[in-house]
Amino acid sequence: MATQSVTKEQVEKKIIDSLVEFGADPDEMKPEATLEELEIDSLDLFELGQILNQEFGIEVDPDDFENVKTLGEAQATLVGYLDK
Amino acid sequence: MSGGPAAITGVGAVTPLGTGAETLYEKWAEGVCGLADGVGACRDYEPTEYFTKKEARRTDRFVQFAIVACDEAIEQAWGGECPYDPSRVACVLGVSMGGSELMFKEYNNLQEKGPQWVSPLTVPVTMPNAPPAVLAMKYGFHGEAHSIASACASSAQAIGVGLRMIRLDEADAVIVGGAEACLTDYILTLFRNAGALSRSGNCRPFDKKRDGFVMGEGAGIMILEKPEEADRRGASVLGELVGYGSSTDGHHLSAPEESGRFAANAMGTAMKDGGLTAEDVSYVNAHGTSTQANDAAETAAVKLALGEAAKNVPISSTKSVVGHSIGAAGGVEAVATLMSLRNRTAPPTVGLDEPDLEQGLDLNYVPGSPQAIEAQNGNGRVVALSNSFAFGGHNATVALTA
Repeated sequence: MATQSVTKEQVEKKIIDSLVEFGADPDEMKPEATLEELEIDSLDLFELGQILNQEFGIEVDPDDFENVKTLGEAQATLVGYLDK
Repeated sequence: MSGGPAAITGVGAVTPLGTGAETLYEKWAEGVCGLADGVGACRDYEPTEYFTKKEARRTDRFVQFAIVACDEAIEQAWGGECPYDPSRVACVLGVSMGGSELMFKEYNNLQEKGPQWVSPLTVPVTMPNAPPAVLAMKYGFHGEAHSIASACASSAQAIGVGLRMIRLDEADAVIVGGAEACLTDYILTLFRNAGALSRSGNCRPFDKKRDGFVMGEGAGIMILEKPEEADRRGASVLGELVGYGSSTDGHHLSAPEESGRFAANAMGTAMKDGGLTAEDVSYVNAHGTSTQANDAAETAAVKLALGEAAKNVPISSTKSVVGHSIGAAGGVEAVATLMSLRNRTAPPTVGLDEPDLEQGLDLNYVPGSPQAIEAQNGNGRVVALSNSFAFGGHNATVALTA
């Protein structure tokens, strides 16, 4: 259960900040960029899920990322947890 | 009966003396010691000089050392382009402790915070086989690749396996050696409590006052090729790996067998494997840890293996200037040995003031200043043995010529 006061913008910023911290190029962080182009793999997504869990109490299910191809889709999936 | 040599076409090293095989040799020959504050740390090593942020985050320090040393060796051997079918390039590297720092940090996270805090990178970053795996990813090599773990003999045994692979035509080239980076409080405590570390923090191989080894870190890498293939492509051959011998004490978990007879067997096998006699040997690169037990047993082993020839041959310890890098030691020392042969100079055992004559440590350990390495067999080539002896009783000797 996500904390009510967490905003979409906070989650999106945390996603970008974390992926940059993992080594992704900040200039390439556009919604249409594919995870493959950004060299973001399942290990990064797992770690990102841990961070969002720790920061915002979001419970990430790795199965939800099966069809996620772009950064924008990943952000939408993660932000979507706020409504669950 | 010799099984034939492997050509050595590239070498690389990361040690407390700096990055580079030349640096290792030159500083050692000058008597520069890389040990400080009771450890041999690669203090000048800066990951961002070699790796992107993502690469650095996904590689432990020991993996990074391996890759940096491999890069140097590969550049020397092949420049920008590997001359072989990538499926015929193999990699066998030694390691003992692996990615110990992250492994225990994440264990603490599990205990203190819970499983959801443990990094998913822990296994791929810390696994002992990470160096050959990362190397294969970087260069697109597809031959056999794995790591060997036999404590302080790991790298020497990796070199031996590489020689066999060349002889059996299992690869056109094998990248061999090893890497280690475990200068953490935890690992240092483990070795200290096992009675192996110097209490004074000084490395004094073969000296009366020796009181244990000083832990180091680093990597040492060699490129082995089939001699005929190296010749065919006009490679600049640095020297040859001509023989390998290995044995096991079957005696004690950590202490060497006192008579040195099994260690001597490894040395003897390496000579026989290389078609050499004791009289051919111009230099011995000792395991030379500075522990009471090793230096006495190793001296006994050298006497058994070389007989009369042991009396004059220069014997020196690379660990006296870089410390004991455990799983990397055999690789670092094989590189140092080859460089010493090429320069016809035995660098000194630094820190040795007074050999322990009471324990029979009466050989020529090259105290004080370097000595010439002289050809013994009339063909101008010089021959060296490099010894590695390990916790667990693993003994390994490689025979090199240049």
